[in-house]
Amino acid sequence: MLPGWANDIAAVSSILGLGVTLWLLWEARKLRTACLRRARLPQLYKALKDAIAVLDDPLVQWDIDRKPALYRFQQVSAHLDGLLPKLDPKLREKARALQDQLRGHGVWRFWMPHSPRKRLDERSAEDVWRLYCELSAFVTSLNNSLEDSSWQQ
Amino acid sequence: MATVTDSPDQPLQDKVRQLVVKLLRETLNGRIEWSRAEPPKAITRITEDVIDPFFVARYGDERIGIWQRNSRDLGPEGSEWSERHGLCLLGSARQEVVWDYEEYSPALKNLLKAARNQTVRIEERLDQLLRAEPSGLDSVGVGTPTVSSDQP
Repeated sequence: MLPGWANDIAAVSSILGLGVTLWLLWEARKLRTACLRRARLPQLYKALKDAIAVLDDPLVQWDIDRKPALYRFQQVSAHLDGLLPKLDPKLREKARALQDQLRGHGVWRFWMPHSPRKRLDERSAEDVWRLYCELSAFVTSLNNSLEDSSWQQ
Repeated sequence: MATVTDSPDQPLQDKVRQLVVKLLRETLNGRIEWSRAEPPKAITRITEDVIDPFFVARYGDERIGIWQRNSRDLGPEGSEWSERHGLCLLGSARQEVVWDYEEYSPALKNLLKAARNQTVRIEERLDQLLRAEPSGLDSVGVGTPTVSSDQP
């Protein structure tokens, strides 16, 4: 027969043990989510970088022929879609803002025909070069974030 | 002094990026003439870095330099090569750098590509190659192979 104080210690220890186990399970889950989130991020980043690298030549022709540039912008938009779930909140916000610009208001035009926002193919050369500038800045931020995170792994 | 100034509304970084895109547009439209040059000492001060290429051009009242820096940085898995692109305003004295800026930038990388294509006159040279006739083997220093008399 154990003394009362020993029973008390055993009860407290088992509660603490349960707490530690739950904490470890929670940490393992967080680690798994982080690994899944970051998997393929370097490949998607490279794809986005490559798509932006070939945007400049079609943009020069914007006032003559918009199709080549629009095709490139579509590729950029697809890569941004792939990246979105893998980004940290700050970069995700920037990526969403870029996606909004790349897509224009689309279906909203039907509901708001006088909306000041234009579809991408209706934008001026100045506007699309500004968008290119923002895309380039986004890649710079993503590159810095990837360099920082390589030290955290 | 540098024309790029900071303001509370628009950070310096944004202005530099806008300038890079402006220079890229002007270069692709043939309104800026770049030439290859030796990088100033202030840019090459870190000896292990590779600065190549370095281009200069005159735009407005300023002389501008752009470059690519490849450096070996210490990463979590040992040393790794990293790429940075730079833009500087050059002073009136030779090798004088008034202001410089560096980051990994796709727009600046495209500007470097455009400057390189312009300086090596790539389109003109490719056109010449497309028009060219095949040259004889002798003219490139390759003679007709000699057959040894020992061979069966």
